[in-house]
Amino acid sequence: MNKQQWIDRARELGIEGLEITQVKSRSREMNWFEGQLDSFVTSRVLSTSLRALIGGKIVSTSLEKVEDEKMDEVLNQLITAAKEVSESEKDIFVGPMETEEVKSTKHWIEPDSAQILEVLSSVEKKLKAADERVRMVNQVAFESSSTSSELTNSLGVNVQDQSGMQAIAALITMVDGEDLRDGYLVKLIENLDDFDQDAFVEELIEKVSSHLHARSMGSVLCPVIFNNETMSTLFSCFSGMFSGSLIAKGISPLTDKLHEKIFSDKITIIDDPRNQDALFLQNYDDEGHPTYTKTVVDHGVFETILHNTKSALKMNTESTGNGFKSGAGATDVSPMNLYIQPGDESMDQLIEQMGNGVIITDLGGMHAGVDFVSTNFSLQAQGYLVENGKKVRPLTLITVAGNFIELMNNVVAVGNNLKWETRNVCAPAILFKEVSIGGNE
Amino acid sequence: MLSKKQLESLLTLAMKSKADFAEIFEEETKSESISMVNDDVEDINRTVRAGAGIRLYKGNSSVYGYTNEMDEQSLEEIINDLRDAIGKEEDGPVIVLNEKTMAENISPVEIDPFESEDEVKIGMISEAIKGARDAGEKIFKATAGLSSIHQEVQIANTEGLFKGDVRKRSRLRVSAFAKEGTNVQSSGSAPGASQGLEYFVGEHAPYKAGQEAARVAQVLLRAKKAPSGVMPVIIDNGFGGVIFHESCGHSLEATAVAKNMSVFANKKGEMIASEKVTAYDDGTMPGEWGSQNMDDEGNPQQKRVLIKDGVLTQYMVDRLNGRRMNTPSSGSGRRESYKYEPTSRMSNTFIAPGTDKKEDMFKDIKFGLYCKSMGGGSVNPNTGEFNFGVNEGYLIEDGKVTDPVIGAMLIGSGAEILKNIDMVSDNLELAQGMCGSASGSVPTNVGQPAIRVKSITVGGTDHE
Repeated sequence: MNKQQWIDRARELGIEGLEITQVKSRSREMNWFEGQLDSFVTSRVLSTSLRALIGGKIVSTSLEKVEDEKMDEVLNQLITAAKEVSESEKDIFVGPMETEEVKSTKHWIEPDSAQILEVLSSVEKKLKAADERVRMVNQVAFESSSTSSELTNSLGVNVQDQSGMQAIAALITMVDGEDLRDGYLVKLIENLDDFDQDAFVEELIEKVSSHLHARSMGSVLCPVIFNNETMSTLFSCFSGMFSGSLIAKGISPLTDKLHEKIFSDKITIIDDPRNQDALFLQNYDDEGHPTYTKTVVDHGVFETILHNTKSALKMNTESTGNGFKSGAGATDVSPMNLYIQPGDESMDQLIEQMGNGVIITDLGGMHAGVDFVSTNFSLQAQGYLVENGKKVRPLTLITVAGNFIELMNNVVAVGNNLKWETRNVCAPAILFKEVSIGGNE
Repeated sequence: MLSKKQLESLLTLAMKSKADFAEIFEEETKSESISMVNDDVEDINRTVRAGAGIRLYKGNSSVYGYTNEMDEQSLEEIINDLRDAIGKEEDGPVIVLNEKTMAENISPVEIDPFESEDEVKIGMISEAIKGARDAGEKIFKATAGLSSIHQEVQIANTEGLFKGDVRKRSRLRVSAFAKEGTNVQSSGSAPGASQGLEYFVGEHAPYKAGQEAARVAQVLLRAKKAPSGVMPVIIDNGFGGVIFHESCGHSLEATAVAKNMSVFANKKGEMIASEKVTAYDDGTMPGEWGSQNMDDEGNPQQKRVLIKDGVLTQYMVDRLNGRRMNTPSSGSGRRESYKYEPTSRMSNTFIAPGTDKKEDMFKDIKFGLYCKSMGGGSVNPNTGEFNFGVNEGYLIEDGKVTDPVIGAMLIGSGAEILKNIDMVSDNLELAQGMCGSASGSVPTNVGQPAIRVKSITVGGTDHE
């Protein structure tokens, strides 16, 4: 694609601004099953998206097949579409902006296939040997991907970002008597030489075996700890509430709540696209705006609305560098490395402090049981029953339900254990005063 | 699209390896979505997806590569990566393909959205928004959109198969937002089909979809907290069928069954459900959302009888898992796009109508839940534990439907729930959904007549 030619031609056709984003991705995945390579997947994909400002209207398209000779067809299609769009914008594209770029401290060292297969085979053997209750090692997998993106616009912006990741994942099934449980574990691996197979095996066996013979419990309103994984999952279901785009539309539950106290004063929330602990570090958003760290909620008070250029214009303010593409072409507002600031207490201290209650370790049904607008949620869960500050038995087939905003006003203590792994929305374990648990006993 | 000669040469290269089978899936897909918020056209987005996926088998294992760099050199590089992974050889058979044939089109489109003016489509979306906003003054906002897809595929394999297909689908989505004081609720409606704009008339008219979304949003405004505990539940027709999709459907896919990772593996011929239950997965229904002219491995779609009078009769099988299970493909190999290896997936999956009457189901229930419409759900096929959300639910008290309730989720284990269905009515209806699994997100219909489940765990927040 000859980008300059597209930008020049767009100008000739009367297009006020053009932005071209190209993302090149590569991936490799190897799955091991029953002593052999079960599947191998490799890919290389280049996708291109265009955003244009035409007659004060923004339109976009995304293409996996770009032909310079079809330039006029594509640009004219954008011009036609712009005539139908109602919302008027201006100054949507930014020119080059100064920022001090940070480099990720993560260094992904790509292993060769032979080494990967050796590790996968060895992990499978170790998992099978670790515990006689392991009925099946459903999958041991290695996955790697790298993405490089380049954004160019007609105001002279040309910025690049790169990211990558490598991970080992395994899924096992354990059986004890009539009871069957499964579970998986994913670990990011910068260098396969440093991968501690035994620790991985031990953690996964513990994770699954500790849920063997889990059963339900009676319905009750009781204190609940969401562990760091489930708290992150629940928080991410509602992380869109800080989006300027949804607030401007009046759809976010935080519409008209800026500078008001929305959560318990134990809750501080930061959006930090440059966080070195998170998997992806972004110096620029997908509109070429530099990113920066901001406090979204300060001790319970809602202090910052996240914006892209479009939502910022609507609300008469500046972009916060949170314009990220959600799908093809169009740029929406989303957080990047958003987290609840950890407190002081360890998981054990939280459990002790709770005394009697429930720990939630797995959640299911997020796309059905979460209502973003009313912030009600009701989810399938697994976890542990806690009595007198001790885990007494595993739980399954229970539901956990409530209202997210009420929940976040109901905080007893915030844990100290933030775990990023592959997440970009993250939370430590949190102990809540009372949450509704449903069960069949 | 790649020519017959190019495909033959690429497949011949692929077979210079330990592979015993190779397949190339190529697609060019246009999609379009127009979205509105109240009176404003917010976005018109058009995308093109184009690329190929190449798969080689050796016995029960497979290697897969996909790319949209469609020049010969890039394709050969991908194939060479795959040959390395499966075991490279210097020689192999020369592949000759049959002449290309197009799959018979069971879902002809009358009004092609891609050939219709934006104005016409915007008019339809505006109608949906109007339907929602006319429904009552508590509706303070409505959003709606129309999405259309036009997918051209060709599939060639080393058995000589060379087939082409064109798939077209359209779907309207509308959401209504209702407000009373600080209480804000929303609900949506999303009719769709393997058809063009001609589908959106009569009961599928945009205005009606808007009205329905607004009706539910307003019901939710006055809903009480859902109860929590074990109780009888009546699940109405249409999207209620998500209970079968989650509790049973996924566990009957060869994806889970072939590797013995399903609660229903090795259960063919056994009674796995109440004798009132007969269930189908039928990919051949003309014009339906989950139908296909052929599956994504070039095999004809089929009507599959999954359960007959409670007895498990058939699994849904794709080509590779068929090898593991020693059974032919049932035409169930599906994928979202060239970026996914195909695996066995559902199409239009539904419980067949029974002979009970819906009105008789309520009579002897002292306290229970009536689920008029459902949200989505999910399942772990290995343990059979599933969940699904209730969108519009009401209490049943002393045989009568009483107050609406909000925030209920139903959970259970598939093996138990199917045996707990004690009544099946006669009002079968299908509803559209997107089903996510190993091979991506594919359009599927769920469906059922109203059914009654003797007891199931309901997770709500009311502990009075």
